[in-house]
Amino acid sequence: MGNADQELMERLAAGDAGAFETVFRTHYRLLLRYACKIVGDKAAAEDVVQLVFANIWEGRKRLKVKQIKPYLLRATHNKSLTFLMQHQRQSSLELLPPMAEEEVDEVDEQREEVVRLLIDALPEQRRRIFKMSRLDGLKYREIATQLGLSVKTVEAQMGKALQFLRSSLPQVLKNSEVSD
Amino acid sequence: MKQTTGIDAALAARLLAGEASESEKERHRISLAVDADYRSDWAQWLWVWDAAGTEEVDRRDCDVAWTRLQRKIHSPLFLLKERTLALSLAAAAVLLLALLLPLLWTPAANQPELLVTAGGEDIQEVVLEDGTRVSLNANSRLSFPEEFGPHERRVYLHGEAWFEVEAQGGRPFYVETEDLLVKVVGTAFNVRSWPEPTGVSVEVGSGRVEVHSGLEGSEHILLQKGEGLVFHRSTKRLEQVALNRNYLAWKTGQLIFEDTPLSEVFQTLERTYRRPITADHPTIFEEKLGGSFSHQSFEHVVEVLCTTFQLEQHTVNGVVVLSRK
Repeated sequence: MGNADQELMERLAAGDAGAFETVFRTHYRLLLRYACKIVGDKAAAEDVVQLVFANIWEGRKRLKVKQIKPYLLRATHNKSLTFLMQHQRQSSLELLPPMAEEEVDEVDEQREEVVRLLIDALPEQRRRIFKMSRLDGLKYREIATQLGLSVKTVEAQMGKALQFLRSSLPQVLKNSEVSD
Repeated sequence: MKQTTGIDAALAARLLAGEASESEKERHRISLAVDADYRSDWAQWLWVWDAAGTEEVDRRDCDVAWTRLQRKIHSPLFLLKERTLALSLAAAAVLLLALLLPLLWTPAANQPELLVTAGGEDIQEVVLEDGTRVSLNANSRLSFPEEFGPHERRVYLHGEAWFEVEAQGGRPFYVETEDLLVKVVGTAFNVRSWPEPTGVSVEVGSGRVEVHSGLEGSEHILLQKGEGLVFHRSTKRLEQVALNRNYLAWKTGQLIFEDTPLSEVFQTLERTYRRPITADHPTIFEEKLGGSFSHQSFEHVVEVLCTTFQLEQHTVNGVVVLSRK
């Protein structure tokens, strides 16, 4: 594992775009989620992760990293704080949340499966709206136009869908733990 | 049961689906920074949203992000920055070599790009080789060739600039930014390319421009005099919007409001001074402001708002928050 990391980083330092792409694709989702926890919205988190990787590529020749993931998490943490600083001019770093790097949970297949089942349990229109937003990436306005609804309705349905997923999740998981 | 101080589901959905307004996002960021319970509540919503995705959607998002990164690291400005870094590392050696062997030192064969940077508070005025006039906002960079080619004129912008382009038949003028390509026939227009989520827009003062959300041939919008558009980074979409009448305030120093709701005034102040400002009560956003400011500081304008509407200001993590006295 460590050796594979090291080899990948050596190739990256030598300007191997394939190695860079591998590192990017392997960690993108995790870093996006990490940044989103701190900066609070997806678009801002995307900008932060772009900067992290742009900086890595820019400084690749001077890169001395043995383990990729902790390095990427730290870089994302720092860039996220910088983002907050830039958007809150006079703030001091003490006021910003201390984030434990270990706090990032890995993808949990079982819980994801449960969420998928819960989505299927939504009332038809609500499920359709939720999928159009979450999976197809459509804007509320586009969903409203396609379904002949008002944007307000789409907004309300999205809130209800998300609320349902969140409040049902702990119960379903508890039940499945009992059956284990 | 501990939902009392938590994030409302509809707001969480708006934040996650990229539908939240700037002031909502700002309040959200403030709460994230100061409230640990709020932070763990947000982490829960985020978790549900992430789990509701599929591998296919994740892969698509990853593809989009990878393409965007490719575009960024292959942009001339980025390459130039890289080169400058490498140069400064080698600078000492080169200088020594130049001193020792002045006769062997010949200037690099036509260095293609010139770079103008406006730092700090200053606005830079630049006249390009073809007569095009550019006002470059503070903290912005413009790179362009010493001489344009015979078939096109092309410059690269980070930040914000106002262009007055000399029309030249058959030799279009292009402005490239990280996200957009603006094609010009002969006109005066403003381009913003700031890192903020709402930081990318184009406004036309006269003539016509064609704005592409990527390379030429991609989605584009034709803009006429008095029209503007914004680029949504999250969806990579262009949207035509009403022109903010104060869009050139960074250059002219003039801000004019006429019966303008404070929600809009806040947006204009953020855009002009790049300083976040909001209020803590919905009725404050509805107050209307009339009047003008000439070359006034952000602090002065906020002071005037406070006096006019009997508000007081607090600074929470650098965001100015206005509240009722």
